[in-house]
Amino acid sequence: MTVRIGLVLPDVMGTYGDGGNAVVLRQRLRLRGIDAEIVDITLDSPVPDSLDIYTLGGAEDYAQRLATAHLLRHPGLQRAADRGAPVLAICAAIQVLGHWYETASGERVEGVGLLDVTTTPQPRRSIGEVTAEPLIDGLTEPLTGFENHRGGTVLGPDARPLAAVTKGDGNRVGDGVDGAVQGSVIASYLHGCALARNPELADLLLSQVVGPLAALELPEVALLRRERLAAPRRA
Amino acid sequence: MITARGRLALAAGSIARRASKATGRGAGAMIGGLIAMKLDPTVLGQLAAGRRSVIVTGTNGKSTTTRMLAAALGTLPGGVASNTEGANMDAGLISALAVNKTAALAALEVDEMHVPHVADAVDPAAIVLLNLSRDQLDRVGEINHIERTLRAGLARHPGAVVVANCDDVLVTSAAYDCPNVVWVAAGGSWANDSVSCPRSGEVIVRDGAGWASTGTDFRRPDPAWWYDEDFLHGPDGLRLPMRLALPGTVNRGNAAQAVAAAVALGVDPAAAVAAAGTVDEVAGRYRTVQVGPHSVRMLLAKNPAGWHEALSMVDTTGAAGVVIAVNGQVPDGEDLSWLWDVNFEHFVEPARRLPVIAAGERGTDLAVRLGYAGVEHRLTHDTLAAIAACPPGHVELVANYTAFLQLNRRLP
Repeated sequence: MTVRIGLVLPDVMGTYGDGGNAVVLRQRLRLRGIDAEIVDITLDSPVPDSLDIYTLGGAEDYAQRLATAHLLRHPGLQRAADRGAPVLAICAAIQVLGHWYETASGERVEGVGLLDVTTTPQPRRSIGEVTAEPLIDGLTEPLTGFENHRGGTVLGPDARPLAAVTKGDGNRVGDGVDGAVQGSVIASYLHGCALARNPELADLLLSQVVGPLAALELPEVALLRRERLAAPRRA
Repeated sequence: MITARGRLALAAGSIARRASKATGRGAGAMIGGLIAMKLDPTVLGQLAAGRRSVIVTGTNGKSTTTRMLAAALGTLPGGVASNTEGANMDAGLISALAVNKTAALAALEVDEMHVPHVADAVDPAAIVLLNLSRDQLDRVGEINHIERTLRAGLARHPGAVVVANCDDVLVTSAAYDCPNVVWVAAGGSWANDSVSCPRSGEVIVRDGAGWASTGTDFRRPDPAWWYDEDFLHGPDGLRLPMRLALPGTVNRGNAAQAVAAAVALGVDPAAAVAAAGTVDEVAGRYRTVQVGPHSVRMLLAKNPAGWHEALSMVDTTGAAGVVIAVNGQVPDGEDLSWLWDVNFEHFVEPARRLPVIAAGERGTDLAVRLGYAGVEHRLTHDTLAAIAACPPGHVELVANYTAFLQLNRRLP
């Protein structure tokens, strides 16, 4: 079988190198001898519901709105999530997949509704290195990433946080948690790109598609994790 | 005309500049200008009065285009002042004009966000808009905000000739309402920041070189100037052979805009092209340096668009190695996620023939990126050591901003 990885709207939701998440997923399968391919899902075509796994990334104002409208008009991602296909949502994608988000100018934009979260602007942007301890089964290693977002996200009762923040802000200044997990959706504000820095998260997503995976020793990835986990957060 | 207060301010700045140079603490441009500006905030306008100035701005290519423009303007009588040290905010501009008070012309590289108030001060004869794309991810405001700021600034100078790149959607939006625009098809390889229309928020559709907004009447204007591999084409069937000392398609676009601006100021087109073609080094970039048994060609890339351009200039034919150096200091931006936007898969094939080495303070980030791109590589954080690790011969080096500066300081 060939695992098909949906890279959702890279033309508008790829602000922070988030296309890299799809590359990491594909390569971690290929390195284990499993065929995999990336399917770019762009604004000029509907979102297919038949793919095995989906990733979405960050976006800036206009682009985020275009993406939200497209996902609502062509609800393939929602159908895929309903049948349990893993979905990774990074940064602005958390906001897009929530009930609604409020823009910097105070306008409320209706979201996709896959996550029980809402987002409103914070007084200042959260920018910098983040470290967080995972709170979900299947993850034991600390998460590392870079955050850069104005929106502050609050979880409702149906969404659980992904991790407890030990450095940086995460979802909202003062809340001490990052991300949202609900059904087959895992969301986080950490980019960098997220799966390059957090191979355990990549394999957790992949194992939901192909079953248990053999360990993969990549010394440079281990070195990168040591460097980034030790990196200070600049004031 | 410079006022008494302006003269005092400039004298104080000049003393500081010489002191800074003498003590080896810097090239002096910044400190001299800063002091003069502090003592007389109107000094920039006083220095520019009576000259014909051209402002050059955009995310990438500012220094190169300004150098080419200064060379072209140099074919006119009267002399040219220019901020060749690359200090492109008020202090650097004041210094550049202060050291060359008699020059009748000025070629000024200006930071994008500083263009509106610099234009108000110097009342430019022309403004060159190159391109707008994301710069350092963690520092700079949204690109649409920069475009709107430029648009508002240009509206206050209806008399200036705006030389704008119509292949860049954001630049076109900034210049679209100006009464006096010379459109140049200078190229735009990085479309990622302009999928949405800056004037309506709707989608931009592309068809070959053309593009149009689906939300409002906003589309690519027909260019007056364009280029191909051999020629520069201009108004009224003008067609001039264009040979440049600098590599890369992007520099042909820069030259086209420099020539168009020079011609707007009265330079003979053929003389302008010839002058732009002589520029062979810009602040250490593009030069080839001998380092022991290695001749190293130095390419700088500051942001995603710059990396696309620089990687397209890397010539692995006959090279003994490729060294790519990445830092994550404040001027570089601390967030290196953009590494995942750059098409390093380009090096899969060359890496089978020659070493590709990841270097710099954030070399590990790059090594992981190369690894997932399937590019055979090594990791040597010290850039000079990485060069030394290549077999003797020619090395192509690409570095981001502080990695480039650090290496430049250690080279002959």
